[in-house]
Amino acid sequence: MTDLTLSLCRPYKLKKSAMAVPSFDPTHAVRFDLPHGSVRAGGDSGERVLLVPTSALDDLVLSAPQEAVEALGRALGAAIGRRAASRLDPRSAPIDAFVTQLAGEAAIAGVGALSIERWGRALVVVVEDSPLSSALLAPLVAAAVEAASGKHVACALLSRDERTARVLLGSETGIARAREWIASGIPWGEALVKLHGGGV
Amino acid sequence: MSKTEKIAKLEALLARVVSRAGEPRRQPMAVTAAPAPVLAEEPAELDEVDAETIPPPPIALPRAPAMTETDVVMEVEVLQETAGDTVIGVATEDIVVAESLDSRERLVAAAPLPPAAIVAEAPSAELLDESPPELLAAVEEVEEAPLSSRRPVAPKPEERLADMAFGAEEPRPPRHTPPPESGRLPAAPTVEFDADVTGVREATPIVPRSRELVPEATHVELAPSDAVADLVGEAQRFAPGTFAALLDASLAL
Repeated sequence: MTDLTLSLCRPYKLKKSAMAVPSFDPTHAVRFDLPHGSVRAGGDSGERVLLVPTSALDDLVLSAPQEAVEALGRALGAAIGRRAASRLDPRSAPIDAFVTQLAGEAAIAGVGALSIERWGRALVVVVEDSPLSSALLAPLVAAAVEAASGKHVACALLSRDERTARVLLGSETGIARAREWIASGIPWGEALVKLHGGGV
Repeated sequence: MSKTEKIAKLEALLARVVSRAGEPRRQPMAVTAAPAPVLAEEPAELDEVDAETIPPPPIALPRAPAMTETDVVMEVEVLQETAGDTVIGVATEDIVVAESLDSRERLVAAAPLPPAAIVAEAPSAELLDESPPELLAAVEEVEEAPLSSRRPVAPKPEERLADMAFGAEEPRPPRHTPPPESGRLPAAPTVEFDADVTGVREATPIVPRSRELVPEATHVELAPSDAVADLVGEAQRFAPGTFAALLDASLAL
């Protein structure tokens, strides 16, 4: 039986990390050009962004098809991932260092407080106090990591309550199996254990 | 009657008394000139059906000669004292009742007493007038004890008057005592016992000993050991160094 404990993943949380990791520098992360009426994220050469009320996004999620909602989420997440990768290369950066930059960019975009949990080999991204719905949040997280790493990442929403949402990142096949197990009534913890196949 | 005659009679009486004093005493059976019952003279009016209840015929008593004032002598109990005057009362004549008088009816209805006799038993008005007012009030205050009461019976008014006038021999206990008051109980009277008689001895007071609190320490000597921890399972062997390595491992699931 695989023993997956949450305590082993705490060092990778931003708020609870005790290691000396490079902090996120938010200086001039967003520039408001009032004479031109534009807002740009990522400095002068950053892409133009739009401040959108969350209620408008909720209406869109309720009215638009699932593919459209997922495409919107992926677009929002890809922008966050690219800005985080511009700060730090995830391929060479330690886990906590890159997560710090990724969480900083997510916070500037207003997505919520982002952190990761490592359940064995499984990578779970935790987002707290997010104003986005689950239909937008899960593809947003997967697209952010995908854009930062350059690898195709699939996602599955493990849990969502009033404050916390957990998103499992993995391959298309692994995420498909996990969705089936959760849909059949298996708790997401056991689904993660089964996903490992008996070994960590 | 002259004095000489009286003296002669008295001397005769004295001699007679002296002679009778030497004789053995007998029950006085003499009846002094009692008047005959009134009802005895009316036997015809009785019911003749019950012959046994008919009173006997009147006794024919011998007629005594007419007695003068000096001849009437009442029978008096003789009180003889060792050294004192002797009072003598002698009847002039003894009336001997015939013992052979047989009759089953001995009871004779007595004539009702005249109201004056009953009234005479009450204290006279003069006596009441002469009594001091406080004594009269004391008499009126005497109340009779109820039948169901255990209180001592009140003394007779005469005794009470005598006690108040000349003083009682000893004060009587109060008849009515107030009920005990509620509240705290009275303290027990201090009784001193005679040690030689009762065997009660005074105990010496117990003097508390001053005790010092001394800690009793129990020291445990633990030997060092390296087999304290018992690990269940094993730590994760997977420890990615970069975020990309972690992502690759998750994508490999």
